[in-house]
Amino acid sequence: MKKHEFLDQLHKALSGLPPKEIDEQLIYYSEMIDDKMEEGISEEEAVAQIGPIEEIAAQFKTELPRKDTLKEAIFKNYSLPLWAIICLIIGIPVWGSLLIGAICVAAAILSTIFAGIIALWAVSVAIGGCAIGAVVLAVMQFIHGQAATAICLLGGALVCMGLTILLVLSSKAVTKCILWCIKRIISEIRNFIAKRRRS
Amino acid sequence: MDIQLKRGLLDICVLAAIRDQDSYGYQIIKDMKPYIELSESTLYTILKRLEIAQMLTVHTVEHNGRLRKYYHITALGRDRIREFKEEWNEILSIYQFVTKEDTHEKT
Repeated sequence: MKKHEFLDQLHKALSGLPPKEIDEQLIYYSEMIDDKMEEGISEEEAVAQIGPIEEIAAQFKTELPRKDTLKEAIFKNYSLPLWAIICLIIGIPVWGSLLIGAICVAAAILSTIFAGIIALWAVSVAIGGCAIGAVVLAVMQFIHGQAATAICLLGGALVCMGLTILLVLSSKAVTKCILWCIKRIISEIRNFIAKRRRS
Repeated sequence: MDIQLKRGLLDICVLAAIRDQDSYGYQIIKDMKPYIELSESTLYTILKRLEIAQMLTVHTVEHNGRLRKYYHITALGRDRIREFKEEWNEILSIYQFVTKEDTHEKT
């Protein structure tokens, strides 16, 4: 059997599953066949090694855990006794305002961090703009015979260019570092939640 | 072997196969071949399960004009390997206890 025939038949066998799941499986087996063929195995042999399509579809449908929806995850893992639910409802004005406060603080911290990054980039662009402006002015001054002013302006432009390079490099490093930190914090929180769910 | 136990062990094997460096489906099967035979469809369900459990992540890399999926172990996946190593001593003592019972039965 050729690769495209195998993938067509697999597509049919997996019908009923979400389109994204089907696509992922087709990509996986297509890649697997390509890797086998790259090692010198013939197309038919590579397909034959994958095994019967019916078995693949059956195994996938029976063995794969279904991803819990957010609602299911909350109710499955954090089921609370009735008294706790009643207390939670009664206490909404207290914990609700605290929660909103916490969200606002987090949003304010994030906005401040991003404002800092934007300001740093804005300064870099502004100094870069000054450098270009100084070069243009220097050329104009040179045309009008003001050589001394033109040289002064060129010197200023060079300083601005140097500063721009330094600022762009540092802005890039700071942005990368902050984004890495934010990504890391999010991943740690996700890991913590996933760990709690497993235990 | 008990299906649940085998499933758990295979999950650890796949995590171990990508522990030192990111790897792709066919390479994982080849790396595991000297130790355990794994079919492509079994590997797919394991990878999918580990991805859902956030023990690995997937990224795509261009290879010979086509795309290839690479699997990368996460901190959670490394934790699972570490936990398994710790649990192994417990499993060994259970095994020793069970085999000791066998020798009593023979005598």
